[in-house]
Amino acid sequence: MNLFEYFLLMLKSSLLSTGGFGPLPILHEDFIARGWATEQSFTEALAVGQTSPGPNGLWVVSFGYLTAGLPGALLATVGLLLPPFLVLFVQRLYQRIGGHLLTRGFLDGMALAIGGAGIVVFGRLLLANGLQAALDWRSLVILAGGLLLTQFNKLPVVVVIGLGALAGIVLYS
Amino acid sequence: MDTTTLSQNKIAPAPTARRLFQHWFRIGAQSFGGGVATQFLIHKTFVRDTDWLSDDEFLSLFAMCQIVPGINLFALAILIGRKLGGGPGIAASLAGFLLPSVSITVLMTALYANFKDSPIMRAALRGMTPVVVALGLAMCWRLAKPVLLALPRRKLFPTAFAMVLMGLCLAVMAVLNVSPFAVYIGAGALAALAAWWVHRRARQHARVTQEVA
Repeated sequence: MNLFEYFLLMLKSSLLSTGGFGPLPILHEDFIARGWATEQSFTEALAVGQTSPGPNGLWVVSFGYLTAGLPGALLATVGLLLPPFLVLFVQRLYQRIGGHLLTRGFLDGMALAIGGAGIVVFGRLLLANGLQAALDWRSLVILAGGLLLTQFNKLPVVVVIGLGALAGIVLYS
Repeated sequence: MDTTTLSQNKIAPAPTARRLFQHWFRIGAQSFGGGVATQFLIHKTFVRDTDWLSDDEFLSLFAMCQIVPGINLFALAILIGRKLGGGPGIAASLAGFLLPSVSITVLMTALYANFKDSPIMRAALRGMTPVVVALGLAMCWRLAKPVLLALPRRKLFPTAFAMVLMGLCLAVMAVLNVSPFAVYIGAGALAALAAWWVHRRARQHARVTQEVA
């Protein structure tokens, strides 16, 4: 694994997307193709990263640690940190382009695309998470429960993931 | 931003870089529970508790962060740091925000990696996988919902167009081996075009009805 290329891929995923899980489809494509990550490492990173404090996007740091140890976590952090600085540039232009029809249309289209791409990637995580017989009735029951729990906005994510872990221990061991 | 506008806008005396660091450190260490919890804490810290920003200022900074790539809350930390303390304010805010949240994330991952091969952890992960997927799908929905349902504030094109576009992105991602970024850009361009077309037609329509009247 070439750490410079590793960093560039991290930077690319965050530079070419927006929001906490925006980098997921791009990282998924690049890292799976190079054999630098398994489907399982994505699930693990998302579970840990969503439980830890800070923005949701920190799951990428967790992913960095799982794929390349401490250097990976560090490079992931720098890769996440640089693109938001573009906001200083946007701030100057905002009056002119912020409310423009084309800007809003473009952002709306991108939101739809990230949503659609996300559904595909999350579907793949469910089907092939690197563990044997990933999809069975138990995982479907837990998925249904999880979807139900996400309807309660007040419920912290930590609790939802914790309940999932508990359900896994009860149903699978 | 120069100092004169800064002193006109601010409500309370601006904090030192050190205090900025402390406040962001507290946010970074306490915000268990994801982005919404973090956003809530940021608002509470800088608007409600300290009066360093007005509600309007906070909202306008927040809106700018929505059109920036990467983690929106990092962009927000940069903007708030700059507004309250210039360059040193940016450095203090980011350092304070990242230090605890990144360290805790790394620690938790290391802890997890240590125990991941135990049977209990493996069972737990099998349970967490569908839950992570559920949370992810909910995020996809939250992202696309305002556009899909053509909520009045965002109404640029009809729901049917949004549904077809999202379905198209989903199908392309599932079947073809294309870069997600290409899909994002393509969808963005199509949607911008649609917004422009809908707007133009509405204007033409208005002109025609005016002439008829």
